[in-house]
Amino acid sequence: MEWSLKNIFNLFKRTKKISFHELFDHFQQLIKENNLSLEIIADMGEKLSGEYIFDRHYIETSSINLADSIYKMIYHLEAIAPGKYSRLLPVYAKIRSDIEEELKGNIIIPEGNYVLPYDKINDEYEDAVGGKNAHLGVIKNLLTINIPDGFAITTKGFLKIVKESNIAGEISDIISKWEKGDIETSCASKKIQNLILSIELPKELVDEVNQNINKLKKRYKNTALYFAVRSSCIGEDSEHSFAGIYESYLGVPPEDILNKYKEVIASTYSERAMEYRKNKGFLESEIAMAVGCQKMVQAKASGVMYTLDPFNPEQERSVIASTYGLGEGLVSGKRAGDKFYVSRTYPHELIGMDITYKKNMSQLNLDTGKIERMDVPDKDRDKPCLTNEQIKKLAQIGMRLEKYFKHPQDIEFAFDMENNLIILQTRQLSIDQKKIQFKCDLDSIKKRFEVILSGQGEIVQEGIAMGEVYKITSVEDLENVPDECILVATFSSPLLAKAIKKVNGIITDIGSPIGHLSTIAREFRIPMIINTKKATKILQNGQKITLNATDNVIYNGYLKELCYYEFNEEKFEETKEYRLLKRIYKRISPLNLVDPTGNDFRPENCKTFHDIIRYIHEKAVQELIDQNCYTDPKLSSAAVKLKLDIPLDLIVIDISENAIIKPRQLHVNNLSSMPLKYFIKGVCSENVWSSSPVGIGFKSFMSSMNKTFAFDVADPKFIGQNLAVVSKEYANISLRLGYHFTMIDTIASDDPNSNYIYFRFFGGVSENVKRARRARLIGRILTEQDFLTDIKGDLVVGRLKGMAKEETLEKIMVIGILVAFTRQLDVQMTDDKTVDYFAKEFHKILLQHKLGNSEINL
Amino acid sequence: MNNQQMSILILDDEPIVTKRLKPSLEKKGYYVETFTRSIDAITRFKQRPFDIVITDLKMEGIDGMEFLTEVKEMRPETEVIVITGFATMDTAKESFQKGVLDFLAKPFRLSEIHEAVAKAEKKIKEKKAQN
Repeated sequence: MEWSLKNIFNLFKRTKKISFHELFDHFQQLIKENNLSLEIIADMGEKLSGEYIFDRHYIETSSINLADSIYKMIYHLEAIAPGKYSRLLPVYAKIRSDIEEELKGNIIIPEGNYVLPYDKINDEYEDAVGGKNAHLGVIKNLLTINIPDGFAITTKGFLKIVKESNIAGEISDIISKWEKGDIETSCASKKIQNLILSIELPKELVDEVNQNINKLKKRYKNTALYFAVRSSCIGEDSEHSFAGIYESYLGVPPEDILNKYKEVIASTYSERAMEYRKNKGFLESEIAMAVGCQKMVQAKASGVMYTLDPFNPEQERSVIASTYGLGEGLVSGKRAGDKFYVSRTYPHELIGMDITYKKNMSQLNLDTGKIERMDVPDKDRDKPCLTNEQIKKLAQIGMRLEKYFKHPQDIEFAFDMENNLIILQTRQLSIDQKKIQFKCDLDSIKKRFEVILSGQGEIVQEGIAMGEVYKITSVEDLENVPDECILVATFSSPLLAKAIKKVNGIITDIGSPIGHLSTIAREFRIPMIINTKKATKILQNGQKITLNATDNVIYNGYLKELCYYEFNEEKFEETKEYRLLKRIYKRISPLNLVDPTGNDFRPENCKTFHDIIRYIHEKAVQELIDQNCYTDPKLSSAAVKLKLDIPLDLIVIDISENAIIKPRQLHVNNLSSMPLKYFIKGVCSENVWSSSPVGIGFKSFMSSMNKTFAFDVADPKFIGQNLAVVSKEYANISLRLGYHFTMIDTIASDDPNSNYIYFRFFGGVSENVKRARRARLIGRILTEQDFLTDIKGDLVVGRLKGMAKEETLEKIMVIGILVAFTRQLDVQMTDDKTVDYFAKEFHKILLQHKLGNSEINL
Repeated sequence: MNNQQMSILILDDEPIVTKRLKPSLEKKGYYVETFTRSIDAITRFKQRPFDIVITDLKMEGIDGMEFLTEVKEMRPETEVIVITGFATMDTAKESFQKGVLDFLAKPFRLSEIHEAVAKAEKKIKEKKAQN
């Protein structure tokens, strides 16, 4: 099927209703494409671990295969319900074309073209905002560390001026003459700079900058606003440091930002910059300049931190130089400040300090925007300008930045008047390779260290981490995770994600490389390995270990050389291909549409391919259920009633390709669908009913539910039959037990990456508050059972993926028990304590059934 | 291992592949040179023999299959590992007929290429021991 909008619009012109046989066939194809597309998404996610070598070709083919697969899903849904979901098409076309633009190398900026506020920036936009701005965005938005408020003017502004404006031709002529050596650098530089300074800026750019300035003015009503306008060049912060080559301006009032912007852009062609690039072998065609506009900070103290003392690397310490007020003179080295030496390892002891006499300091004059010299009060001149707490805080944040960026950092910081630590800039510390030998003979060093585990696990995120082991055995343990430890747990539960900002590394016995925690670990670049089978057994609390999640080895003790060795290597996260895959993955994988009953469950609200998949799947199942297969004589041959001891009126439709026509009644033992079998096992399991809160027997309960069900009072969405659409490895079970609505959609196959459980529960007859309590109870149980859980009012959605077949089936059985257990429970949920009570009761039941997770499975 | 450092030549027209493979193999103690154009790789191979060659198949200019055929003709004892994003049964078959030791479909894990290289190294050492 060739992709084209025209094709599918033609298809949408049809309205003819199709036979059940055809409908069946389309549904089956749709599920097949559904699974295929989820597999592709999982595969692309896994490639972000750093363990794989992939190239552009891979990104292109995966994206196209995925888009095609989803296109086929739209086609099959259209065949099932002609014309009903045609609004999906433009949404699909938009996401697809955005991805195609990304593949062509055009970065799509979320709002507008020229300006991106810092709260929208992350490292995927590095090619649009430059390294310096991208790092600040990551620091703010991912690592939640303070940076100055403000925005970036993207490289699109530079490209528009230098490559597309009426001066573009002249600039390129001058450059080519200069490259040939026909004109001097000084002459070329002067000519280009004059051209740039004389140009009128694009109107769109001016508008976007003004809009963002106005937003900031509103946010800081009563304070005078001044900006630091800084260069942020492409490639500036990686291996080639352009420190001090391009212009930066301080104390810029809002009305002057655009002028200073032009000057920074012009400084791309300063004599010094042109010479520097020539010497370093940069191509002029590769240059693009973005600019950062940051609100100036009124500082109590400021300074610079090197996370590794470059003069004495063997001393394992960070060095901080700081002074009162603004740190400008200090940064440029014109002024001496206090020096503090801090241990690089937790808890970052202060090792030494060197205090100078500080007579003056620089401060921003809020009336003029000028930076002025002021006297330091007599009593403070001899004191250290930073307190011990400030030093410790700085050391901790510095090491976090070093770990995230995988290289020692050169950090500019300030403590504002409210004592908040604000990071003004961070970049790779340039290190004299002659002084520091990061590369060493690793083999001989490694021999000195005991190998605890090697090649046992599966790598989720590459990297090296050192720290003390902290084992998680209960939810309480999770509240007390110490800083900079290595987290060790049985399973890679989504619950662990809340500790992600504190830990240096994660190791688990079992887990899923595509589950929630793995995604988060990759996002935060926390080295992580799973499926070691025995980490919790052989690692001891407090044990000092080195996790080498690049080569899949765990060492006893701290192997610092390995950490240093890694500094020297190219960071895979910084390669163009990795960033491209990550950008595309963001348009593919996040799931925003979780609540199918909500008003926002519409095609227009699909932001990613995953949303579209979810939407189509949901609607396809709905359409099939609405066909009322059992009562419709035409369809009854495909539908079979399941024979059960409990009065659960369940119709089963087997969509396996060679499913034979079955007898009118089907016994559980004859079910070919493993997921359905385990679910039924759970629903019908003994003891669930006797130890549960409702004082009536299961049979009477079920029958009462079925009998009391009255069409005139029920919401139309509750009407319909209990239906399971299944194949050998797949089951979609929709239950309408009275006013409760439950849906389970699951695959349990031999390929863990294909496996998932999607569980949804809502409804009830009691008042909202009780229903919400029940939702909390179910949510809690699901969370404890390793589901990623969303609760909205009385709706609970739990998701689990990437587990092995047996584990998935066991979880399906737990869901079966849960469904039975929580029947009519809302009526019983009289106060908040009942949530606790019933959660414990549920654990007891699981224990009786010997289901592994009677204790919380962490 | 360093007294008999194995040399590896890597050819792939996607710079990301050579950029990532080089440090990873160097860390294991191998001597590595990388190329993104087959013409440069063949010129270099003529100047200096390599123990192991890792090559992509589909590239502009001389394609990988031609390149590895030439390598095998010039120096049969060089072990060749093919890495390709267009893996088919036919190309795999053809590669093995030309004496390729291993065939990896891209994307692959770093540990897989390490294993393939270790296998090649073992084979080379065994041959040397026999002689």
